[in-house]
Amino acid sequence: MDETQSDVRVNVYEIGYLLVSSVPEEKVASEAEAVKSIITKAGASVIAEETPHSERLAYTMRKKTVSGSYDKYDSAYFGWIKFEVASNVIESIKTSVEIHPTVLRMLMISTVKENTYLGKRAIAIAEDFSPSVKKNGGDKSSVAERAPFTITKAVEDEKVAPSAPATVEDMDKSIDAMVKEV
Amino acid sequence: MKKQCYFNQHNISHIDYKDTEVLKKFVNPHGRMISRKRTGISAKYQRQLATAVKRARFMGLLPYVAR
Repeated sequence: MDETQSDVRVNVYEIGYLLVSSVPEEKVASEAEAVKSIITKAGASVIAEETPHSERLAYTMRKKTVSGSYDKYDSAYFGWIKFEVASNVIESIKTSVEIHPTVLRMLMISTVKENTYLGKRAIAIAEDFSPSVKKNGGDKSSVAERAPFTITKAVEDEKVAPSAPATVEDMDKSIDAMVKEV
Repeated sequence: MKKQCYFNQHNISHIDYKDTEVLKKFVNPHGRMISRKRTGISAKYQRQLATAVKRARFMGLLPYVAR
């Protein structure tokens, strides 16, 4: 126990959470404040945060209700808090946020004090994408890059085959030639 | 010609799972991550990218499977 006490260090963590969409828009701020108070009560100092905003989920999530059935959610309010706290209290913070009734899902990560979130800058950076990577972005282009020779060859073969008997006369000549050969 | 690492170019030292606009560029239309061979980013950032994509998927910001 003494060893663990001496190992206590102050680290930077970030909690990302989803609030259920059944929470009305005007109560979202107070729910976010409730999550924040769980963290601050444990002695954490908040570095950065973003109040939850409605987000369409990439897939349907389920949350177990008190009665044992499941509620399904296609959208949720996504918010996050970055904070600094001693490593020995982080587990209790995690469990308290997880069992909060309006929290659909949460993710706790260890991070750095510096700002890592690009936010709106990300859109500009994503647009300014290097062409070499962009070329590989889609499935079709990647197939073309992996097998450029086979594809071009196949196209050439297709072109050659139907162009041989272009007219009816040519076709007759080619048939005659084949008959003579036999 | 050798490809330049995308994250080195833009001075991004930590890849954040919340930057889904950036992460989307490194997954294919089915939602699968693109290999390092094709993204051309350094091993360090490819590892960070993989973690970020998995975190974003868990939080419903990116799909596990699309279509």
